[in-house]
Amino acid sequence: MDLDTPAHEIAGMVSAGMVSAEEVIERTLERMRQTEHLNIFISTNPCAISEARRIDDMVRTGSDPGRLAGVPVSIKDNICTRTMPTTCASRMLEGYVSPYEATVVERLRREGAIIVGKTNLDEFAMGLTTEFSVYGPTLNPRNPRYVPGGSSGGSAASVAAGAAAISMGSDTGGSVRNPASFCGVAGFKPTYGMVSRYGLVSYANSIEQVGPLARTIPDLALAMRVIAGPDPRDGTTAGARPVSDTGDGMDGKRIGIVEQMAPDSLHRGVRAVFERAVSGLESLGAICEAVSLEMVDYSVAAYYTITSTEAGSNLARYDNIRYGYGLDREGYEFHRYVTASRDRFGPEVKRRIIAGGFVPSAGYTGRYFLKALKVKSRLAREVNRLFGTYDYLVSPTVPVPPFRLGEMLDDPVGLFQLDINTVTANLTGKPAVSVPCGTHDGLPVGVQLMADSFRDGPLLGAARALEGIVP
Amino acid sequence: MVTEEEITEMAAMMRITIDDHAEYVDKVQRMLDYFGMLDSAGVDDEEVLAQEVTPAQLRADEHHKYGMGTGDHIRAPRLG
Amino acid sequence: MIGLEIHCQLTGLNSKLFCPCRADYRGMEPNTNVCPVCMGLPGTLPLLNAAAVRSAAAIAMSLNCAPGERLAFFRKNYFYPDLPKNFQITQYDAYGHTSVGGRGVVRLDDRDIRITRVQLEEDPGRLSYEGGADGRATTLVDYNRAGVALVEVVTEPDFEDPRQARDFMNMLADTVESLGAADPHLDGAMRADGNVSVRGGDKVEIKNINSFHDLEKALHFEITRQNSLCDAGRTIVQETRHWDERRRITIPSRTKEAELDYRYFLEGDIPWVAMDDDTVRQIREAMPESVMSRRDRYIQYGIAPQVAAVLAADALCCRLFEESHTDRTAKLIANLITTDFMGVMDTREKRAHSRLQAGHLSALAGAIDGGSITRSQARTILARLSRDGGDMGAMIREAGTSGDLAGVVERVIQEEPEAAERARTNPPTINHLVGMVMRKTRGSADPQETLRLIRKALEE
Ligand SMILES: [Zn+2]
Repeated sequence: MDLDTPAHEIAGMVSAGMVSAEEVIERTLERMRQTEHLNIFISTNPCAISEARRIDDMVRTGSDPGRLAGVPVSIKDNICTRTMPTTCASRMLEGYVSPYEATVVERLRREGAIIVGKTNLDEFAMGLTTEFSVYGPTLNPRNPRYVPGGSSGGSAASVAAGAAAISMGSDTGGSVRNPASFCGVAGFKPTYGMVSRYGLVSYANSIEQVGPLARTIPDLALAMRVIAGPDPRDGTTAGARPVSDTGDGMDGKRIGIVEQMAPDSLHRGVRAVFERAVSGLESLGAICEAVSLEMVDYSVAAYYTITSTEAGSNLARYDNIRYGYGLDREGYEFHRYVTASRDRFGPEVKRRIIAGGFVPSAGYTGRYFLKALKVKSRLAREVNRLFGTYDYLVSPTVPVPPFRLGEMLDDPVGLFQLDINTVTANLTGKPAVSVPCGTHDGLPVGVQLMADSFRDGPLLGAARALEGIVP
Repeated sequence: MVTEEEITEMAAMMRITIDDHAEYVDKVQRMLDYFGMLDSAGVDDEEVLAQEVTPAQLRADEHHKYGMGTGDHIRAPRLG
Repeated sequence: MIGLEIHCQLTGLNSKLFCPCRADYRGMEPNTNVCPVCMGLPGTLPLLNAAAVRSAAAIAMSLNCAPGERLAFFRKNYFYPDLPKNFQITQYDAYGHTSVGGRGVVRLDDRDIRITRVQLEEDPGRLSYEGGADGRATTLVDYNRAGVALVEVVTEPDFEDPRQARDFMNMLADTVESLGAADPHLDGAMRADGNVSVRGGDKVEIKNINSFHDLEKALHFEITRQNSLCDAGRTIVQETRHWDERRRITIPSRTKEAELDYRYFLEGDIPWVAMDDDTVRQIREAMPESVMSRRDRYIQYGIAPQVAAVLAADALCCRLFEESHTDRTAKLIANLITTDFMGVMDTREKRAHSRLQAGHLSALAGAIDGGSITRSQARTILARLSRDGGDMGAMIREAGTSGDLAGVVERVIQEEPEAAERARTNPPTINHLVGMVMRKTRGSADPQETLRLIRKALEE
C-alpha cells in the first residue's frame, strides 16, 4: 500500500487486516508534515491515531469497521466538526468550535473514515483560487507557483498530495470541480438535495452542495454512496435517492457538447485536452454533437446576483454577540459594536456583502434579483430540454489551465468568467463531475460531464468510462 | 450606475466598514454593472421555478430537548 | 380608519416553527429552550413544522381566506439583538400568492372586515435591559422565544373605532382557541400592531401593543393625538410609533426610515410547500365550526342575533350551551349564559375557574320551564353555583317549595301579561292577580304581603 492507493482498496485492506488503520494514518500524518509548505490544512485532528486504533480493534474483534475503514479523509473548513475548529478561513470564526457535527462528517465516521484535518479555502468559500484565506494561499501540489483553484483548494490539494484519499468540499458555483481540475483530481457536485447541507456553513444555500473529491471516480462513487440520501435535518433532501451502482457503458450514449462552454476563444491547451476527451468518448461508441444553451451567456451574472444576495443574508449572523471572538463591549452601542466586529471579514467577503445588499434592496429588486431567478428558471428549462435527447453534456471544467498565484487577484469580474462552465449545474441543480483528462505544460486540465437530476449514479459511470481512456 | 454615496450607505446598512474607499467603490460598481447585463436576457415572461415538497414531508411536531444553553441572559451592548 | 396586524403564537404546538425546542417557553430559565437551529449557529437549517402549517392554514380558512396553493418563505433582513440570524423567516407575497392565506372577509357586527393576508413566521427572542443611569446600558437577550411559530393576521383599514378593533381581536382569540391552535390568554401570546389614519391623512403605525386591553387604549390615544394635530392645522406624517405601556402614550420610534429596507428575498432552505386538495380538505374537515357559522346556527333557534353573537364568540360558553340545550330550552339557556352567567363571571379568567357545568344549566332550564322555580330564582342559584358550587338539586327544591312569594308573584305576572297591564291602568283589577297567587300557593300566602309584592312588581 502507498498513499496513492484508492480509498476503496485501503478500506478493503484494513478490513481484511492486511494493513492496520493506524499505519495508514501514521503515514498520512507524515505526508501532511512533508507537505506543510503547501499550506493545505488549517487544523489537524489530534485524535486521528486513537480513532484509527479503534478501527483496528473492530477488525481484530470481527465487527464490521465500515465501508471506509481506516480511509484518511479531509474536510473543508466550512463543514462543521465537533473535535476541530470550523473557521471558514475567516478571522470572524477564529477558533470557533461547533457543538455539533455535520451530517456528512457523521456518515463518513460511521463508515470508519478517519478525519485527518480541516482544509484551507477562500474565506466563506468566496473565490476560486484559495488565495482569499486569512491563513494564506494554498499552493498547487503539481506546481507550487500555481494556484490550486478554489474555493475547495485545500481539499483538492490534500487529495493530490496524498494527504487524504477522499476530501469533502462544497460546490456553490464550481468550488469542488474547479480545484479538482486545477489539481488533477476528480470532483463531484451532486444533484441539489442529494447530500445533506446540515453543518455546511451557508454561502449561497439555494444552489450549493457538499461534494467529494478523490483520486479516482470509483472513490467518488463510494463517497457518494456513504454521504447521499435524505437527512431529517435538511428539508431540501426530502427527494434524495440512493446512488445507483454505476457501470453503464458508453456505447450508443448521446452526448451534447455545449457550444457556449467551448467557444472559439477557449484556451488552446484546454481545447487540446478537451478534444482528445471527446474523441475518446466517441471511440467508446458515444455519439457526440454540438448543442446550444443560450442562457449560459447570462448564467454567471445570474449566479453572482443570487450568491451575493444570499451571502449578504447568510453572513449577517456574524455579529459577535452569541459566539465569536473577544471584543470589549464597553462603550459601544449595539449597531456600532456589530459594525466594528464585522471588520474581521476580508475584503472580498466585504465586497460581496455590499453588492448583496443592493440586489434585493427595495429600489433594485425587479432590476436584479427577480431577473436572476428568471434566468435560472429559463436555463433549467433549456437544460431539461437537452436532457430529453442527450444522456450527458460535456465541456471543459474551467476555460483556462491553472494560473500563477496573484495573477487574477485584482480583477473580480475577470475572475467571474472562470465560472462560466461550472455555474450551470448549480443554477439548475444538476449533478456534474470533473474528470482529470490530461495536462497543458505539465499542469492538469479537467473535463466536465453533467447529467439530469438524480442521475448521479449513471453520471459517475460515464465519468469512470472517461477516466479509463485517459492515457 | 450606483453612486459612491449609495455604496457608502449600503455598507453602513450591511454593518461593513470600508477602509480603502475608492477601491471598494470601484469594485462594487463593476460588480453591479456586470449584474446589469441581466436586463438584456429577455426573460420577463419566465415563471420562477422552485423545489417543492408536500405537507406530509415536513417535520413532525415533536419536542426534543437539545441540552445546550446557560440559564443566563446573553449580554449585548445597549441599543442606541 | 384603523387596520390591524395581529401576531398570535401557536402555543398549541409541541415544538418551535423550525426546530424541536418547546413552543411554550414560559417559566424556563433564560436560554435553556434553545438548540443550534434557533440560535442560528453556522451550518444549521430551518425544518418547517408540519403542524404549524396545518394550524396556520386552519386559522386562515376560519377567516374565510383562500389557502395559498404553494407556500413560500422569505427572509426579512435587519440587524437586531433579538434575531439570532439577523434575519427573520417570514412570508411575503412577492411571486404571487404564496402565504398561508389571503383575501378573506369576516363579518363583524354588520361590518365587513377585509383580511389582507395570513402568514406564518418566527418569533424573535426577548430583550430586557439593565445598568447605567437610564437602566439601558446593557441589553439582555433570552432566545427561549426565538423561533416560536407566529401567525400574523393583517387586515385592511376597515375598523372605524377602537372598540371594533378590540372585538375583532377577541373574535380572533376565540377562533384560535377553538381550533386548539393557541391559548390566547397566555402572557404575550397575542400581540397587535395598529395603523391609524384620521381625516384622510397619512397612516401611522403603532407597534408593541401587548394586551387586548391596551389595544383599545393605544388606538384611542393615537386617534386623539392625530385629531388634535389636525385641529391645530398640522399635517400628520407617515411614521412608526411605539406604545409605551407604562406611560400609556405612543412615542415616535427611534428606527430611521433607511433601516426599513428589509431586502426580502426567497428562503432557499425551505422548499415550497404544495398545499394539495387532499391536505386542504383534511384540514377543513378537522376544523371545528367557525364563530360565524356557529352564530348563524344559534340564530336558527330563535336566539336574538346579539345574544347569539356573544355566545358564539366564547369557546367555554359555547361548550356549556351545546352540552345543555334542547330545541325547547335553547333560547332560555342562551339567555341564562349570556346575561346571568356572563354577568356574574364577567371575565374569561373568572369563567374558566367557575364551577358551573352543563348539567346545571339543563336542570335549571327544566325547572324554570316546568314552573317549579322562577327566572329570578334561577339567577340567584346560578350565581351561587358559579361562585361556590354546591348541590343544585337542593337549591331548586328549596326555591320551589319554600313558597317564595316574590317568585310566585313574578311568575304570575309573567304568565298573565294582560291582567298585569290591566292592573296597572285600573288598580282595582289587581285582585284578579292576587287570586291567581292564592291559587298557586293553595291559599297559604298572606293576602296583605301578596298585595304589597304585586304592587311593587308592577311598578318595576
Ligand atoms: Zn431550537
